[in-house]
Amino acid sequence: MPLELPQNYFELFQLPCALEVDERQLIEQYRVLQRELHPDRFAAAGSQEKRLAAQAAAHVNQAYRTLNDRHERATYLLQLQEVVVDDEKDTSTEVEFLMQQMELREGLEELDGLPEAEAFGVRLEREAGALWEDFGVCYAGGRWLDAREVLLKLRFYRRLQQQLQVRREQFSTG
Amino acid sequence: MALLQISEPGQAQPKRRACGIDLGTTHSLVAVMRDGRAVTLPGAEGRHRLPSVVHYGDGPATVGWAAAQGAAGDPGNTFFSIKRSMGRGTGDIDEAHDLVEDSTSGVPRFRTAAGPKTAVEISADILAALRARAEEELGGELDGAVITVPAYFDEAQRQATKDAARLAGLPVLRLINEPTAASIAYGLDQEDDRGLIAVFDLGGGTFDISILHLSRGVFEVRATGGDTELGGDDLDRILLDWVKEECGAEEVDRVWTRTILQAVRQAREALSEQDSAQIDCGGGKVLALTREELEQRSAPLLEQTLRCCRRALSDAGVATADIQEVVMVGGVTRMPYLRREVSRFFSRAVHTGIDPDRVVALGAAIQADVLVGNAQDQDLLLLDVIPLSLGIEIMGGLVERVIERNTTIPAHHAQEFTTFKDGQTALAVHVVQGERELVSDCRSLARFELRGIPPMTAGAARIRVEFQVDADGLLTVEAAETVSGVRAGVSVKPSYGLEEPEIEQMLRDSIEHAQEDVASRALNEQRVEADRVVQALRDALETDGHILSDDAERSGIETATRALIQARDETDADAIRAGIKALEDACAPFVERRMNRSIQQAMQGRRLEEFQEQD
Repeated sequence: MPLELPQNYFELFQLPCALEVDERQLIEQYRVLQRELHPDRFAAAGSQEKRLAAQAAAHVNQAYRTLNDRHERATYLLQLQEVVVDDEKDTSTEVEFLMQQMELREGLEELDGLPEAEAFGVRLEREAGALWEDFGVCYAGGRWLDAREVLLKLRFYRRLQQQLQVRREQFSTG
Repeated sequence: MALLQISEPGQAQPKRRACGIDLGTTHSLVAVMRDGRAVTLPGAEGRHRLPSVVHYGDGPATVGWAAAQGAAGDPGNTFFSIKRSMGRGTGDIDEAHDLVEDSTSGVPRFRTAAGPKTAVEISADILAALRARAEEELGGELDGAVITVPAYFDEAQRQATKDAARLAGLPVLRLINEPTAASIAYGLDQEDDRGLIAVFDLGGGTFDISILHLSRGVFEVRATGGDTELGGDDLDRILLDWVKEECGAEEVDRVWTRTILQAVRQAREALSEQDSAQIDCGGGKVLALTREELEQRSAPLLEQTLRCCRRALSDAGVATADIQEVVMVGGVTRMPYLRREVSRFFSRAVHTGIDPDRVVALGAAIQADVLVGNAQDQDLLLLDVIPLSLGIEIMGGLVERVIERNTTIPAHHAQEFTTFKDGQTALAVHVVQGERELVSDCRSLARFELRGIPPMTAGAARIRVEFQVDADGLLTVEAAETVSGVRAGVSVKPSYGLEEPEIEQMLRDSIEHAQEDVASRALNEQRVEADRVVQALRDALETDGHILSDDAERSGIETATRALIQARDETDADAIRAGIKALEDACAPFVERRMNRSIQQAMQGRRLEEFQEQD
């Protein structure tokens, strides 16, 4: 990229390189950068400015999208340590965990009404929360591969939470 | 109150001429800023809404009311709702018009009395009529225009809209989504933190729902949804069937259909004010349509719109209770029934203060004024998302998504792929758009080939495919084999898009038609561009001339500027184009340095602000 923007997303947003981010700083800095860089600022300028602005704004967007989502942020933290997590192909291989996930999935399908769904949501929240703590511990200890395994487990919870949201809407509309 | 500013005599910056255009399915409008307020402009007959109807006869095309009125007499040469055909292939066209066979680029050409016409050309005729209105009002050629499109418009449809603008001689600053323009018109950005806003836009032919987040003058589109094939037209067709049923009419001709469609539309609109309206079915038969009957017939349409709303809310990750404001756009939302039901759905009062037909054009005019540089104190930043995922075809007819739906643009993403067979030297890249897993369920945007890959074993080649989406949502794709450095790229012309030579031919044709001289138009365009480049550079040097690295850089730029000014006063358009290029090259390091400096300042300014807050 020809413009001198930090390539590291955390540096770009002037944030410490960590799992928890100051969301206010993130959004404020995003707006500062976009106000400077969005191609609209160069609508009446030359083609070179427009091209540079589009590239830089795309970089800022990608960085914001990554840091604004906890899963993406965790993946990026590992990527900075050269540990790759492929959303599509990689999966947890722990048999006990996979069995437990199957039970949760069945539990989700058997839900009967909004109160049950809410209770199920609380359970998912609690278990995912514990895993995020594990992730933090592994990451702080420099155990990148362990952190990666925890993150793969968390993907199951994210999917379950998305599916639960769909069920919730079905209950509240129908 | 802010003090009025008075400039020195002779120093006043002339206002640049800008307009906003709502190119609608059934009606179109143009708006400009007048005394600091956006106003829509009427045509010669005094009406602001220009029916998006074009008629082709012996002479030049007729656009608007005259075309609509004559439609019943010559339906084969009259085009309604042409927006539905923008960026579409022959198979997608559901129009009562004959298509001309043998079209090289796959863009459907309609048979008309004035020769074959594409949807792009027909739309360009509508845009040209609006452009004339704006230029008459502003007293000269336009410096810039903002055109609105439905949020749901895909790549091909956006590109087609830009092509139409080019044919109409409109300098497009930006395409913006209609619901976003409506929010600007309501001035919601001017107030304190507004939070989440839903814009419910039901026009003649399209439905859009957008979930926007507004904060401190920054618009972010959190999610968009809708249906490009849903609107008041559909309601009219439902009512047409009802009329057929009631009259016992079976064999009907085009003329009768057009007449009844007009009658039911009028009746439907009248029912927003009264409880019953009459429809003259011809042959002495008159039907009474009650508001109750209309509401009953509208229920499925309402349900379809609410389904889109639910999906958009879920995409944005929010519930109806999180929405703080609801803005109603589009003439159909005048129906008390719709207002009531949408209000009930969101559990809050809905905004209906501005004429729902004009609100989009008004917002576009405000945005155009900012982009053209007239309102530099306005802190308006518009962040948009792409409405549909972009991806490429992989083995087995599956889609690998490269950029996800609702990604903020501009966006850039690269992904690596590899070869499937030993010794494979070429790779077909098929770019598609859509949410489905199978290529056959998605819309094909473009195909190109990467050739000359050195023979390697299967899986050894590293092919990096890069997607770049600009602020208008238009896509460029590049593929490169990273081991050998072979590359190929296309600025994606959608599969149902016009090729560059075709556009140029159309430009020539339209100019011949207008009896203008092609060469003089090209020369004029280059002169305007040269003036713009020189002026922009002068402004930049005036404020930031001190960051030029040395005298050599300054004199290089000055030489190139002089050369361009000289070329500009001669009559060779190509020489001017070359002069512009030479000047831009000479300025490149300066421009880059200047942008970098403002980024650094912005980032440091932010830090400073924080220290001050902590004091």
